[in-house]
Amino acid sequence: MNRRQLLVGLGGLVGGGGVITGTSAFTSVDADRQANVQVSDDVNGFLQIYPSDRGSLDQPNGTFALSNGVPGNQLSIDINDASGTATGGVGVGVDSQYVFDDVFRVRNEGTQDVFVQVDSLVVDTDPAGPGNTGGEVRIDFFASQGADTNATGPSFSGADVIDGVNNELTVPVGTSRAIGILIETVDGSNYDGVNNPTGTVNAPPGTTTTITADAADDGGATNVDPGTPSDTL
Amino acid sequence: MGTGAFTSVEADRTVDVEVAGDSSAYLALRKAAGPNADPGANSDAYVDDSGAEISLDFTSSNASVSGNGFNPNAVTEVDDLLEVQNQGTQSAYLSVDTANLDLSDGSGNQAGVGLAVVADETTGSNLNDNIAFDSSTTPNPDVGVIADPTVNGAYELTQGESVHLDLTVDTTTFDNANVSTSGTITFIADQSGSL
Repeated sequence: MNRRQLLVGLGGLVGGGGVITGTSAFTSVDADRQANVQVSDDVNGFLQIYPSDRGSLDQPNGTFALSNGVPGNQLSIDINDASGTATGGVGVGVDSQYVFDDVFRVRNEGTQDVFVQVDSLVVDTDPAGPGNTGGEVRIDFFASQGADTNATGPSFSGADVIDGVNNELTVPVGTSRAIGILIETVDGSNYDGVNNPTGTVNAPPGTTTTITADAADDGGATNVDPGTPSDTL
Repeated sequence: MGTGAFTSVEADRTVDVEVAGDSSAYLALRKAAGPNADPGANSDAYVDDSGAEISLDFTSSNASVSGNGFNPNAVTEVDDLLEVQNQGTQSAYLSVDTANLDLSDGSGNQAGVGLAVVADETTGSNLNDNIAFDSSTTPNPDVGVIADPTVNGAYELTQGESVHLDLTVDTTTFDNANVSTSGTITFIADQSGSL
């Protein structure tokens, strides 16, 4: 789903009160009613999505999230020579399991509690082909207590992945929740850059994940709620 | 019809992940400088960084050294073998798990294999007391399994800091020579220090 579909959904909801549907009492009625619909952005919308270092927040891994998407300050995840990392750090290593706690936050500014899922990704950094042997990177998103709240951080295997299959993150109305990222890379021998250890391999541009917030509990996943982080906007 | 401001939202967001070689990863592993050269003689001879992942070779197949391996009934130390640098966003506790490297003599005696933090590249200080390894079990009492690295020797690697690791191989209980093994060493950098 994209922004355009989101816009249509909002229009339908807000305009709903003014729609008069046809009945047998008359053949046709054309009644205009005023409906004010605003398309907001990721940091001010009904479902706010923003980096964990936005404003007064100072979580170090917020540097991996950016509110720079167009249009509407869309969140993007950038684990690629990130600005908040030490000099020389370019990306995740091969054959590794990385935990990035508390990268971004979601806040429910709607009227119903919602269950949030973020789709997991499996990215081929080096699709199999002549001279290439494949090389998967797995990216999961997990429910975080917030890096300030849980100073020791979650373990890779202990994190609650909110892929909608295993877990969904409960976000009550008016509250924010932290989300972290797990990244697992496979053996370096699978990578094209095998003869260039300082070289890097990028995930294909345009890789996207889908964030879904739904008031309906689809029941298939466990609902987890680590609570509101101690530092909130 | 929805009852509120939103019932459901679905939004696609971009994700950009870069996979880097060991030397440029957020937890960097690379050849260490020695007293007289960079890389140092030991790391240059025993560390292979031609691939995306570093590897270590202390066997007869390593053409860089004429010796074929460690001595039996000896404790061998290899200084300035590796440099580890925290290129991430925050401080983390470094520990090294060598438990998978199971070097035994065929009579049930195991060699202890450990890595210790010995020098802080960024400050030049000597950190001999900071043992940052985990290992196979006995016999070397200095190469015990670390239950709580924050107490027993995980080294806090601050953002940007790099340290040198020395390798120690203890074969004092060995009966036989001419055994070999291969396995993996796991480098762990964790905010909490718990393994």
